[in-house]
Amino acid sequence: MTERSAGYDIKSAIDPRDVANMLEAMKQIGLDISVPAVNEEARIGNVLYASGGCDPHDCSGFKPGSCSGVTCPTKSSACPTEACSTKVCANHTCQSVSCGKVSCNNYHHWESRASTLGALTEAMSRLPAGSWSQLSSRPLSGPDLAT
Amino acid sequence: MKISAYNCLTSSFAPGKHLAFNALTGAFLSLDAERLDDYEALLASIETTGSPPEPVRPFQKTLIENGFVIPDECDEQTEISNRYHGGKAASRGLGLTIAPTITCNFGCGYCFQSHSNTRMDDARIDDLLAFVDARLEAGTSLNVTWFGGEPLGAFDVIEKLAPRLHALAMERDCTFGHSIITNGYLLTEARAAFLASIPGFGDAQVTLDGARRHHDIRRPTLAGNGTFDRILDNLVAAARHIPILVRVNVDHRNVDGLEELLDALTERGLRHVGVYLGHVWHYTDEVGATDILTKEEFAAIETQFKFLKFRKGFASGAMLPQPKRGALCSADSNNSFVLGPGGGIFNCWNEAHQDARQALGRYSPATEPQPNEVKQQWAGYEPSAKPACRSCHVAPLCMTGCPWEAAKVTDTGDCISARFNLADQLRLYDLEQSVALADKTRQQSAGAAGIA
Repeated sequence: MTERSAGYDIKSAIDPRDVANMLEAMKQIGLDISVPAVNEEARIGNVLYASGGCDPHDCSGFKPGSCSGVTCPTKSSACPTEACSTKVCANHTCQSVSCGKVSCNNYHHWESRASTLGALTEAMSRLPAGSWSQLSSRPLSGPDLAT
Repeated sequence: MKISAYNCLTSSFAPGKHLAFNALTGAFLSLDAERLDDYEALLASIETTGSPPEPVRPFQKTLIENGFVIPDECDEQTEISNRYHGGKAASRGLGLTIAPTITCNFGCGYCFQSHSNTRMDDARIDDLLAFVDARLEAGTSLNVTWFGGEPLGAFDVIEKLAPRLHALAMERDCTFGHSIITNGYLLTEARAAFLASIPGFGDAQVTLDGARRHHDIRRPTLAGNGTFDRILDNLVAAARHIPILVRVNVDHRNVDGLEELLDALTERGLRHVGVYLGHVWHYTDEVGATDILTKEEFAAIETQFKFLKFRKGFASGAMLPQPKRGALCSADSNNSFVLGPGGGIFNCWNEAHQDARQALGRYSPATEPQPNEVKQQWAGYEPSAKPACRSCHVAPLCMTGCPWEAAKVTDTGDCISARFNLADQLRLYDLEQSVALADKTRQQSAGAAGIA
């Protein structure tokens, strides 16, 4: 990671060796994550939450100021061929709702996760256990720019 | 114009990709080298001239629209305060944390509660229903967390209350949700099926403190027996009916067993469950733990654990941090209450174990001061009053964090992990999004090839 200018936050608790291992595994399966993943155009107009609402891109069905009667979409991009529980959003209110994309990951179908992630997990698991760092409460690398 | 106080610019795991986040707007943008130049040129121009460069490039316009650069008259501190108070005032739904009992069958050394044998009797159940009946506003929401002690130690109370609370919500045209926090020892498949049968069940949070060798020492039965294997068996059965969220309470003593826990969950076919870390902390005088991680140490472990989960094929749990609005928790919410088994109303989960005589109010109609009086304890809470928080780059995400802890000190809040690991949180979120996007692109390509 290269420091560009003041305010560029380089600190990390993740061992650079682990990142290098992951990138090597990605290379093995032909996975390129350098493509920008966030469509910022879709967020304009929503991110300011001017009326207390949610991002309709991620929380379709939620109306600003009122979440009554909302149910989750029955399908998720995380598992496009399988249905999510429609109960997942039942306890959300507009005050507590997270506008993260509705995902089956924590509920039902993580095992049938996307094939690319499955291949990546497999590629990473082939590396010897000793090539990965152990969890540690060591200080973050880089300067503390927190305040 | 001026530069927002809440910008974060950092590197992605992908070489050549950068990430920009604004904690006040929640905007998250990924940048290639050209966009990074635009970003830095915009901020440099604002810093030196107070105006954007001419002409304003399209990406610089995006940055302005997303709050990285703001008008001079924009007061971000006031915006945070307005979000807190405005959100509190607008909140209408009723949130209840219900402790059917304070009894617990475990003897965890770091527990923040002292346990009595108090359990909710039928008279208190009726009182509780009357309390809800009087306070649930039509067309809003009713959310219940079953808490304890160990709530499954009084499962009959849940069996009596849950259907009636759901019915009451339906009568009022309210949404209904409920979830449970349990040690998992008594979470049989039949009980999981019952919880699933009441509409609106969210998840069961069950604690496993890492590897069996750690968990059985940290979370034994009152008789001192290990509990890891039985809980794991219960999770396998319960997961057929309800979503499971595994909480791992960590301190210096069990960090080295976290990978073993993930391996144990994988072996039992539980890689789909959510797993997250809790921070053992001195919430109350009851806590007996001594090897507590500092906030910064916990943030480092949390980051590494999310990466470990990703590497092991679990959902990493990486979420894009969201700016807060409204009350921080049950304690400072105007319409959330912690209801003990003996009729006491409390504000904070840390008080649930207290005797009803220590409560700020009662839900027994015969003896209550009005619950609104209970809420006077936190009515004047002002998250922007803490000096250290006023200069913190993640203040819009936490607004001092836990008010219970923040109230113990005068100058700072109860700092959240993002204060220390925001850049890593953004990297991990970008990582999962990028892999998902790559997968989607591959599927589309494969589909197009199939059609051709």
